[in-house]
Amino acid sequence: MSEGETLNITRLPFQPLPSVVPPDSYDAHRSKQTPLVIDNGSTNLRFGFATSSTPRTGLNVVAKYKERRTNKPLLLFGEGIEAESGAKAQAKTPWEGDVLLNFDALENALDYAFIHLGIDTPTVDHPVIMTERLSSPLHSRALTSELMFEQYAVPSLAYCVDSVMSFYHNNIPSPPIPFTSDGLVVSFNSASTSVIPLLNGKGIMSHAKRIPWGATQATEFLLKLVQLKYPTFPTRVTTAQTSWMLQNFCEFAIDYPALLRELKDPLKLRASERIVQFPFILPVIEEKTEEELARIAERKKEQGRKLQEIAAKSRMEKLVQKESDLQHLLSLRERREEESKKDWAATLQEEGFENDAALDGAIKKLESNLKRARKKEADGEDMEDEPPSFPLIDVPDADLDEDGLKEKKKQRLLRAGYEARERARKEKEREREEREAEERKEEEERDRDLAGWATKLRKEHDVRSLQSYSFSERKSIVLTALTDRKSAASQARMKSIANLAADERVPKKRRKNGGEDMFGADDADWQIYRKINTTAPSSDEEDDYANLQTVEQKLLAYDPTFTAEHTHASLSSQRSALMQAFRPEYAEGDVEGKTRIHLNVERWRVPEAWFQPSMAGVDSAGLGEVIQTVLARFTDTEKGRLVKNVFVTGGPSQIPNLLPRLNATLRPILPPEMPLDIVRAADPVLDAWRGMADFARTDELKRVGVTKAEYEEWGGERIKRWWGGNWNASVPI
Amino acid sequence: MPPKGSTKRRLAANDDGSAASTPTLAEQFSYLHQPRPFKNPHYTKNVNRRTKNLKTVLTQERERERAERERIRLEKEGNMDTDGQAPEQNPADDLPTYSSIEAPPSVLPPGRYCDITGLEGPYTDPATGLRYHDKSIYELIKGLSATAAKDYLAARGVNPIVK
Repeated sequence: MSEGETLNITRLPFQPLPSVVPPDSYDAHRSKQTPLVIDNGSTNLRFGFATSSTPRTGLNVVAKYKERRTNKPLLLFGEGIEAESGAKAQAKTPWEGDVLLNFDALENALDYAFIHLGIDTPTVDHPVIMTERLSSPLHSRALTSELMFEQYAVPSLAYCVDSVMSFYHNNIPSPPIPFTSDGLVVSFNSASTSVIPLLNGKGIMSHAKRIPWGATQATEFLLKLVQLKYPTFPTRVTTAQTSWMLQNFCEFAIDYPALLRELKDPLKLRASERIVQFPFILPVIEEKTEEELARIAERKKEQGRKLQEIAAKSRMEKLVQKESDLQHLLSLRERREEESKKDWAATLQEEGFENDAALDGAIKKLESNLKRARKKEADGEDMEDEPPSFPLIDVPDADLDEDGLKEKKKQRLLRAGYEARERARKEKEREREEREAEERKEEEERDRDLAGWATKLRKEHDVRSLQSYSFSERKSIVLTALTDRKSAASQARMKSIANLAADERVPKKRRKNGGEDMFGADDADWQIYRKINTTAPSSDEEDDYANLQTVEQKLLAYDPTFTAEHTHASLSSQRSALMQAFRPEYAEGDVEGKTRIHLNVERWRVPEAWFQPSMAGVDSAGLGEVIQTVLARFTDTEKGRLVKNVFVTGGPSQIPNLLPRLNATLRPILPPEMPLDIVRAADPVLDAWRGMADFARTDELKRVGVTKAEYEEWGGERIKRWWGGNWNASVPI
Repeated sequence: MPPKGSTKRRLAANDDGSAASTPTLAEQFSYLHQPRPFKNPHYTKNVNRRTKNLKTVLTQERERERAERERIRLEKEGNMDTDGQAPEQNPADDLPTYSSIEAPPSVLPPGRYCDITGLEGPYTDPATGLRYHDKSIYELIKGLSATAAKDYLAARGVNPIVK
């Protein structure tokens, strides 16, 4: 296809096997108490010492898997799970959405982190700063603290909110100026999106809000849309592939309604699509060459011939057998002349015949059989029966005896049958002649005036297709009416069924005599089944359709302007241009085409769910509305300070067009003279970790962390309240 | 089993694999048998650590929060002045919890979008409840099976119980 060059086809990326990364050497940090920074994210775990500039990252999944072949238990983390295909089924993640629930998995993940940092001391002797979710449930926090303090014996542990630290990193003041920035942080996480206001460098956690829509929900939404669009897609689409599609093809629409109106046009729809080509296997077609085909035909003919020979042989044998039987019986009859009566009766019994007549009958039958068979062999076609004679029919009944009467009846039946057969044969011949005459006439007409004939036939075709269409329409209307319980048609149906079941049909008189139901005696009774049987197709429609087909065949064969497109079948299944642009159809044998996914409207529809979660069934306010709610709780001056620095961070914030969209959403709800400025984090994915590392290098960390002694006194839930941490169960410093 | 992968405790690099087979990639990744000296051997797994259901955790939170509020309120009432001053706002109201910071439901009217194509969907099919963009899409909807129609509705979050 020439369109191949202009189509935007992207192949699904091939995932290479992960490579083993050796753990770091611990020497740099031994006995130095460098703070350990752990960004515990729903998707990725990022960890490292505060002195490094980048963290080590790994997917936050753990799999405990027993390899079947060698029966060795394995513990795999992160990308390592890709190395073993069976392990993917056993993968467990510590997070369930936004809440830390599986602490076995967390323990294994932290083990991996510490092993790869090279720690080999009896305790993890570094102050730790770790992230937790906005207003994380106390259960999660308690168990995490317990894990850290009891299992790993860290000296102190501080919790923070990742997005605030990312904000800190991007607005870091040079010391000794303290951190007093204002701003509105919009954090895009895997399972939620949060809005956190900051004033004077302090997070106002009580006014923060969280939307339960994040990258995982968006991926699921996209997967569902793709599955609905391609219900018969040959391969399974995994979540990893869907999230790759989300990251590479989806973008925010700056004005969603305007965009939809633009996409209404099928041409624009096609222009906007991106095609993802999934891996496919070409079927191996065995091309039989000419010789092979000829050979196969030969073989079939051979087999046919052999069968025929076998049949002929068996027939011959039977014939011979019959002849010998005949001979035997004939000789038997001759013996009758010789033997006495009693002996004759005994002989007959031996042979299995009751009396003379039976013997004679058998002989006669055999003779006629033989004659026929002989003739068949000679001619090779069915013998025409000579008109058998029925002599007894004309003889009046009175003259015949019992046997004769029976004979006469038999002959009468035979004659009737014979005459009926003759009649049928004559009819068939007549019909054949008529049909031939008609065809000849049509041929002449066609030869004379092709155009005229074509138009006449076309008109007939139109009429019939209309008829057929209206029949099928009528049928479908009737069927749909019958499925609806309240319609008149189904009520009539129920009435007829009830009538049938009721006893009133049996008149009183008959009831006295023992009340038999006389349904069915009258032929009209069976019509009732037409009314109550909802699924029987009307035979009229089938005939009509068959007629339509024949007309179409004729037109197709002789009229050059009538093509396959004009046939009724193709007209009725024509898809609109819009549907064709939305989901292009490929030909039946096009394996490559059938494993393609066309993304057009979904590219904007999925990210739009961030601003309208009700599109995907989540009953929550969208991002624009939530920001408005959060801002409403502040005074105007504070609002001004907040919107001057709207900060966007988190992995999903990398979807294109987010900033212009936010601008378009926020600008109308603010007073026109208020300056609005939206920035994205320099590195939306890693800046949270970097902010934590920056903070850890300052002295402040000592103040905000919970020490082991404090943990033992307070328990795992209480933390210190500081500008970057949560407020629930917190104690002011 | 010899330690896998790189140097551990600055030991000389060991020869790989005890048997003739080199460890598979998965085995190289596995850290099941790597020593973890930093773990406290005396720490017994807290029974409480059984992975709890998300629902139970959240209900527990809610209960705790309610009890906390009650407690603070009673305390405040105890300390209230006798001249009937209005009590200060419960400071516990200010404390955010996991459920309290959840976004409220939307007050904006929901947009009407076609369930099949995603374009504008001003019309609704009375039989299935699906929204559609125009006539041709409606033809498609007429031909959908009941399960397919239900799937489309489920994507929008509408779950018809009886249909």
